[in-house]
Amino acid sequence: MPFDLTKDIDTEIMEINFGPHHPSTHGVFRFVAKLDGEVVVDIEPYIGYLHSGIEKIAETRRYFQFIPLVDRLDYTASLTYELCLCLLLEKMMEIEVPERAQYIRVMLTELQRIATHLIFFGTTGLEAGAYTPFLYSFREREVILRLVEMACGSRMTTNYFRVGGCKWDIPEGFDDLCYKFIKKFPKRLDEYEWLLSGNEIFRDRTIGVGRLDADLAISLGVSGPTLRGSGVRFDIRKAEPYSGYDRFDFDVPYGLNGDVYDRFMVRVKEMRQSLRIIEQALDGLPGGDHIAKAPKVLKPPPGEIYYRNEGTRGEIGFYIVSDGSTVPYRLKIRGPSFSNLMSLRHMMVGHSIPDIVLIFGSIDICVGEVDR
Amino acid sequence: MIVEILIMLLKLVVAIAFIMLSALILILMLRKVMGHMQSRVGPNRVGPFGILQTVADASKLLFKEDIIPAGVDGWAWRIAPSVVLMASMASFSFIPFSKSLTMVNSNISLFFIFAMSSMTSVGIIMAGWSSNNKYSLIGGLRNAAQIISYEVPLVLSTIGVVMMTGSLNLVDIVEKQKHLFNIFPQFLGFLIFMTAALAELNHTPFDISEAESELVSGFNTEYSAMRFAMFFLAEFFNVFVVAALGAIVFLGGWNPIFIPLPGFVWLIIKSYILIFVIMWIRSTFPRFRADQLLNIGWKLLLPASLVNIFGTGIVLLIINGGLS
Amino acid sequence: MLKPGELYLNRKFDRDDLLKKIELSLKGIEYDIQENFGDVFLVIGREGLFKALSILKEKLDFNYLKCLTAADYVGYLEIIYCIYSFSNAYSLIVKAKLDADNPEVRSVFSLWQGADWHEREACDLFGIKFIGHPDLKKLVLWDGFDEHPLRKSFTLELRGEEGGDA
Repeated sequence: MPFDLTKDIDTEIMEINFGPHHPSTHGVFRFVAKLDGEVVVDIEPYIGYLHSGIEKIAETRRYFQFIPLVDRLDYTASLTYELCLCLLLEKMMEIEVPERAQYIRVMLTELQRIATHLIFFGTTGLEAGAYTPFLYSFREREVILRLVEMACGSRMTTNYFRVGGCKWDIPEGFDDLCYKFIKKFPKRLDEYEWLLSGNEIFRDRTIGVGRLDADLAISLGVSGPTLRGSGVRFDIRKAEPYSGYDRFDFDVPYGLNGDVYDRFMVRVKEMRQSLRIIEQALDGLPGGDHIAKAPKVLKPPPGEIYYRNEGTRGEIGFYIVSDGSTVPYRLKIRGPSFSNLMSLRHMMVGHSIPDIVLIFGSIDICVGEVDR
Repeated sequence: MIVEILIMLLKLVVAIAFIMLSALILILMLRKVMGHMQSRVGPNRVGPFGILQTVADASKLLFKEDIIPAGVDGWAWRIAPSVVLMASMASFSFIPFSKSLTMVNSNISLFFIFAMSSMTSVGIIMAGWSSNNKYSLIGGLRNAAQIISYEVPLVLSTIGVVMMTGSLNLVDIVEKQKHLFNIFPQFLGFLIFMTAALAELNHTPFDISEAESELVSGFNTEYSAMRFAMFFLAEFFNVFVVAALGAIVFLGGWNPIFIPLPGFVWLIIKSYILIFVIMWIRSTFPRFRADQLLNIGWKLLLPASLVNIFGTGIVLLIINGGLS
Repeated sequence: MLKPGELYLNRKFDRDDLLKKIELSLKGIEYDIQENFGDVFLVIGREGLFKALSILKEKLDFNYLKCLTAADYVGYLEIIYCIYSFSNAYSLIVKAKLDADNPEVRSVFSLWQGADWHEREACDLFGIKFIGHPDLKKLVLWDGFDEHPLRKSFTLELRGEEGGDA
């Protein structure tokens, strides 16, 4: 500004509390924003409203008893956490998973990835003020949840993967419904993109807002689509492939500016890539067992291990200290939203209130894995 | 003398009944239209096709407990909904429904309607400030900025029509459109009018003051029961007033299009077409940020409306054969 | 690091290369290498920990902190850093033993900003003090709760609740 009109006026910094109860904080999360007029000067996040001490509980549960608990961390995409835990235990105990089980695992994980990104799509529209994409994306999600229910038995917290494979085989009728979904979804996604990413108002609101520099992102430990939106094209499924992901041909989308629009487009493109993976998995689904012969009582050899996985929001990590018994000595869960949330402060400073809401939505956290 | 007063009271009763019924229908229409556009049905339980839904909502609001928060500022908080309601009802009273069906036939009705509709912002600022709540304060102040920015293009967009007609009387404006509706020569004015009207109504894409996802509910966060109902009703009265105004000034008012129906029926049909377009826009677009909104008002709509006036003036000058 | 937009594909972890580089750069600091399930563990004493971590960050380009946690072995605490290098594709886990009664260690916030909340959580749940951390407040537990739940001395039975049947 050429001259500051408020130079002689006494202005105060206003503190607003975006409380745990708010239409646009995704879950129970609170932050206090210090505003100068409508511009944010600083924010202070408070977490812990959903802390359930799951790491302490893990020290008294056997490994297979812990799988349902791990579901509840990222409740929109439970299978990604189960996959990480099962792969880690299979690595510790050197159990080989049959091919059919690997394909089924990949298919269902990618379906849940699409489901989670659909929630993100709808809620971003809602925060920008467009009420309609939210309902359209949930309509698509209904099909996915029906598929997940057919295979796993429940729409949410699925408790489906076991050490060695999956609990049941996929039922008849699963591939018909899945093929129908694969045929319809890309065209529908084009329509929905018209509503949001093609809309001039939305682009004005998101391009250039909430920039995150790549170096700062790496220093903060940010991962997943948030990191890919800043230019670092790192996807654990491609960099350190697990569970047969190297068999499938898919692309890793990225953005160059690190703003809200880039993170949004990364997730929309990822939905299409996940669809490619599902189609390839369904086409090439081999016969065979759905679970390997694993011992009934899981006693991994003593030692420590850190294993990571690409969850929907970033890098899911498990650090297990095993003392040779059926119960872990120490189990640490690294939730991606925990590290992604640290970048909030750096992104929000200097923006106004409507931008805060969009920036916060673009990180796409799930409070279950922040607080554990 | 007594007969005149009685006729006036009768007109009053009919007008209030009409606008209340209209608000009821509009609320239901909004929910059904938005519902169908979002691939869901909207209310369909209470009465056939959900017709009695608004009646149920209104009676619920009547019976709710009237909570007055502790820190509110006395009379300002209590009067604010009435101010807003009064402003919309007053602007409604000047709308003519046909040549003879008018409550008030005044020579400055267009001007008066604009003047009264900006009184709603006084009520909203009162509500925002006296609520003792930071969210409401931000909502109220945003609304003040928005109304000021869009009032000017709104009024200026109709000046072209006034220049063509030569009068501010709404009845005259409609009478002059017997052969050609004003939307055709004044298309730019019509577009500016609709855009600025969306901003005056606090509708998406200009609803920053009631931005649900940001400020909980903006300036009406602390209001409950009948007070909230007054804000809510006032919003829908305003929708009808603005749509009826658009129909009168640009779409020919009660002049029929091919099918001969009574005048006021045509006016209602045209207003409802405009209302449908407003609801269509509401369910499609995201909302603007506050600074982008003000930019559009000052840097886009205002010059456009001035260009419109200028162009109309030149054309009229040419038609009327030079300066006389 | 790869240029923006370049894909990180099949980054194989070269163990021998990493061990050689560690030997070269960490001269003068006492350390011990262990291997378990394919991961490389670097066990260091408390005094040389911060120096070792900064050398690892600068020379070997370990610019990403995956995880910072601790484990309670009765008698001592062990602090665990899982770090990763994008450019060299090295994965390393650094451990150090801390005193159980007064666990203190220097904060690595100056090296990796992502250590911020990880250290606050470790302080909250284990009681480890991080010297040099800008704002060591409680993170997940509520104000007034001064115990450290993830220590082995804090049992669920103590508070009248049942544990699982292990």
